[in-house]
Amino acid sequence: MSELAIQTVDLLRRYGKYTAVNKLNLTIATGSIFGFLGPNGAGKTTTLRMLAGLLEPSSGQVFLHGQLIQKTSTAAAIVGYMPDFFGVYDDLRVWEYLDFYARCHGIEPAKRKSTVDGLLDLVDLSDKRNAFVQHLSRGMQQRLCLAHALVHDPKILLLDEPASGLDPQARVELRELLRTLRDMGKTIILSSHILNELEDICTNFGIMARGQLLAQGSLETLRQRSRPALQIKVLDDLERAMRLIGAQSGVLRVLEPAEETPNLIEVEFDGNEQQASQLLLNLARAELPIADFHREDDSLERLFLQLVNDHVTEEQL
Amino acid sequence: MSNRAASRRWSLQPNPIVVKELRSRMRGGRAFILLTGFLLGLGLVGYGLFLRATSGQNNGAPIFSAQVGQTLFAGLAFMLLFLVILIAPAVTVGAISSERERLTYEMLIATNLPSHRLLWGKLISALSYIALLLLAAIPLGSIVFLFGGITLSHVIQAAVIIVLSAITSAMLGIWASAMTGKTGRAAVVSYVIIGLVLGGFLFGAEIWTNRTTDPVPTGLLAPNPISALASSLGTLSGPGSGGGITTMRAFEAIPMAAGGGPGWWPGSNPFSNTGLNFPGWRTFSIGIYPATDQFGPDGMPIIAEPRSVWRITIIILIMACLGFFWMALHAVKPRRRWWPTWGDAAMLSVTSLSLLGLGFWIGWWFR
Repeated sequence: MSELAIQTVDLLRRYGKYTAVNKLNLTIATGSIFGFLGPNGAGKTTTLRMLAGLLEPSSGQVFLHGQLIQKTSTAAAIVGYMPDFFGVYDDLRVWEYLDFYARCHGIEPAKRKSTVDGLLDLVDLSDKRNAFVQHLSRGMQQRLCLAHALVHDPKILLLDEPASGLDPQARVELRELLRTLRDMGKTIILSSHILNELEDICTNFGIMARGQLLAQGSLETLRQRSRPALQIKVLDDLERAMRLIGAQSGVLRVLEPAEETPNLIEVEFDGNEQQASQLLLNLARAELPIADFHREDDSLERLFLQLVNDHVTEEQL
Repeated sequence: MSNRAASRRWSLQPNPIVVKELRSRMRGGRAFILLTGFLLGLGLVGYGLFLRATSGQNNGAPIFSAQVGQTLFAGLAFMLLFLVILIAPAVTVGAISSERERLTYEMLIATNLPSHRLLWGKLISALSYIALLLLAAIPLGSIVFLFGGITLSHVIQAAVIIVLSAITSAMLGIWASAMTGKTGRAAVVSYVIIGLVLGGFLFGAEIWTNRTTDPVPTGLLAPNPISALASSLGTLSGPGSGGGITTMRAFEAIPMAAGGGPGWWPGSNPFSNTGLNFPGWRTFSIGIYPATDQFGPDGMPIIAEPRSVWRITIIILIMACLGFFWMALHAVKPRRRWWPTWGDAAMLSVTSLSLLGLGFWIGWWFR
């Protein structure tokens, strides 16, 4: 158990009759960067809050480095937590802000200044040391908030949507910072809906939907669960196209187009290249306006959508 | 780190909340504007009281310096009581809820800072500002000593009542803030409770005195800091002035000067129980002076010694503070558990026994 940074056993959290997290069994190895994926309301934030000791599970257990978490203070010593929506004390200067959290963690006065200076250096805010927090840009505030979570040198970092609201440049900077932290030996758990960002940096992933963990493991492990697919963009007559596609050999399932891409039909397909070619030919013969036809890659995003769609379909059945 | 080591480490360091709050509270002009307004208000009220206390001179009535001092002291004490009771919740209603509203609460409770230190920090930083106001008022208040008529025991009693009322009021604000989670709602809850305690009990006592000649029940007087302060200040004049040597000398002197009877007869004595010459005194002291069936030579009823309800009020305020603190402590914990722990039970037992012991030892309950 000591090799695991985090282990949850049948972790369950209910709000009245609503089950936000349902019997979650999560294992995260020490030193990994774990990407927590899931649509809104999947239970990611609830899970992170329970891991941080901020929310009491309705049942189940959380172990952090083998230690059962029953009190917030136990988790606080091990975990640095950065919530998805965070505020800052506008009327404090940048160094005062970190100094405050250093005091809250009981860091001795002799070490406090070097801790604050070191963190400002790490998040590249040394030149803003005496600026008021309210005068920082969103990206700088995000980095400052990350620094606050590191002030007591925790073994585990829980970052809830750390990249939300950041411009591309700030995201790149944040990614670099996370890599640095990984090199420092921290175990990092971050939730995000920007899947390609996670793909670049995370070593392991967990996919959640409706409170349940659908899959977890490395990208390679998850890819083994993915089914090949085709994406077909049809400009008109979508229903006829879907009927026709569904009747072709090699087609396992035709998924309803997503709201944001109403002309894009995703097809689960386990046929060979000849069958794919025949499918395209049949669509053309039916005079359907095909704008795009290609095999889908094994991206995290597709895997994520596939698992979530499967789960929703299972629940509906 | 063991709990004992952690608590030893905490005890050696200043409270982080106090450090932060003091850093940010004293930035900008808000704190200084309030302080200036407070002192100006207090100064104007003091000047008004002085004019009122000396207005009798225009009619040729003798005015003694002690009378002016007593009126000034009592008026300023009530003014201070009202101000601190009203200002303290204003400073504390956002203590917890503002952390929630500006989304810093989770980050705060995710630290190693124990909940009780969080609350203490909020309370101490709020009270330090109230203390600043009270300290700033000392030079103004000390003017009363130039006039005389006040004893040290009166000053201490009034100070204890005012300070305890301020702490309770601040604690009420913190409790409301922790329970409601919204600053606006916490302010409404706090001021409704304060209004009910200050006005409601006075109103109840007023109805009681209008309906019956029986003494107003202690339960209607003791929970109210106004009645408590009135009962303490009531001994400034008249019988039972509680060792107020200066006061007694002044009272003894008046009837002779005015050609009246003994000093404790209200009809002839301008320094009698009803003689504290400022607006509201009559209302504030409802039920404090029990009616007697004895009459003086001038046919006016003799006013009995004022009831010392302030002693019970002190106990009530301390218990209220502890109660609010306990509830707030449970409300700020991320994992709320409302059933009392052994620590809670031990704290309640020790506090109750200490207060009871103190009460029996000096006979407070029965005086």
